[in-house]
Amino acid sequence: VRRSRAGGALLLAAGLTLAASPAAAQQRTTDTPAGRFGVVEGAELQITAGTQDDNASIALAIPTGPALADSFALMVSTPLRGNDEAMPASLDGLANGTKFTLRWGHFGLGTPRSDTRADAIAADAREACRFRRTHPRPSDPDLPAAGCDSEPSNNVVHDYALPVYRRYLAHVIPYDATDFGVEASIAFKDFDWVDPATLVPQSDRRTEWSVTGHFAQYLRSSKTAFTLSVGYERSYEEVDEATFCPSNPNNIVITCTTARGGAPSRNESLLVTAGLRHQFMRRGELLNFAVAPQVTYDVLDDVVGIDVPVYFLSNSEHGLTGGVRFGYRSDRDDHFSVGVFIGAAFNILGGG
Amino acid sequence: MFRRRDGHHAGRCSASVKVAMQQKEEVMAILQVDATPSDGLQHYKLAIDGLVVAMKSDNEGAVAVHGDCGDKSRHVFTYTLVGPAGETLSASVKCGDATVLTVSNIQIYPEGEPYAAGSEGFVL
Repeated sequence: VRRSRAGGALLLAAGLTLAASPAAAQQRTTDTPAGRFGVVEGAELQITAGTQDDNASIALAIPTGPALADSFALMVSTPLRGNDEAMPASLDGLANGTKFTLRWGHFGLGTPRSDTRADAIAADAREACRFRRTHPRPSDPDLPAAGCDSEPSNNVVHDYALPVYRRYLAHVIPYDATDFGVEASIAFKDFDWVDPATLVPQSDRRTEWSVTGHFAQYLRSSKTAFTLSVGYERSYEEVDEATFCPSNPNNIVITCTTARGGAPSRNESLLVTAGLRHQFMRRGELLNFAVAPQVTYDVLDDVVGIDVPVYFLSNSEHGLTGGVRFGYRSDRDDHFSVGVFIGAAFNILGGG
Repeated sequence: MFRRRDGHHAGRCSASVKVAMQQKEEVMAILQVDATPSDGLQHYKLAIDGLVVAMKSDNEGAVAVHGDCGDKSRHVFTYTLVGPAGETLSASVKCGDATVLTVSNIQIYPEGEPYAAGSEGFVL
């Protein structure tokens, strides 16, 4: 069995920016598709290279930044140490081959609106701010240095009308933000094995692929997110290595071979995952209590998995970072599990 | 912080255009918007008088509104931010050479995460 042992210390950190379009992007004043395309014209192509999880990667992307709703990327990655040894924590079945990934994402955010109810809340908050300037309390937030009328409405409402802050946001934002995208990958992977009967080496190249879609919706009125993802993956799994020796009727010294004794087997999965992330609040103030349940269904194997982390341990820097996790797997003898976790911070945006 | 500035007439503003609509001439001012998002901000959207400001990847954009630079007409700037708590955005609006609005350090708070939003009035 051949094993490539290329230096794992290879570190690529090159960045190259290519101007895809001169600064001739037209300024448009409407949110039409043409307008968005005009905006994308002003973006620059970026080629970056790097290493992660023992994979070298190169990415060609249009770095749209936070101003634009759409993002595109084409990435190529290959294991640094050969096919056998790259073992990312992601359990991505395609990670061990040379992989091409095309990714598109879209952030849906409504046009902010001027609203009389929001204006009334902001006016009351500014009035409260002015009152606090003449009647300060030790618990008050730092007063705006430039005066109560100079702070952005968002900040003043938060500081002086916290119980109605979420309601204020819901008045200004017309509908809940959504984040959705699609990622497709194809990988080419070389496999080596031996025929266990003849010990003749065999090799072949197999094509693996996957398609994943994700969707998330963030509520305005509470700190809540709904998530949904669907992913199909077709990959190949190598059989375990074993030691094979020729027959030895004369009891002489022979040479044995340690190798994989069969062709790789195809492995398919279709996973549907639905989740919720929610941090509880009372009168506009966050409580140290959040949940992030997630249900995953493996359609092809008819297996259900449920993961329910409950956060109630916090630290001052990262918020909620620990709690108790309840689990369920339909394919295990012990269906239910429970454990304590520390260090994984609750993140309404998911964090990947 | 933002400042409301009383506009000043300096003749016809170079950033305004006349458009014929329904056999009536209307003066439109083109406002230039410059935004400065913090590194971790995921997405933002800006509007003036309900019209989306078409921002480019360099965080600059423009929008046309009814009015003329210095005519003291009233307008409303609205914004929405999405990202983790602690991220910020600052923005300024120019009509011609005059800065008519500056909004500094709009912040995403843990209580509003992943949102921040608001509206600010200003005059040309």
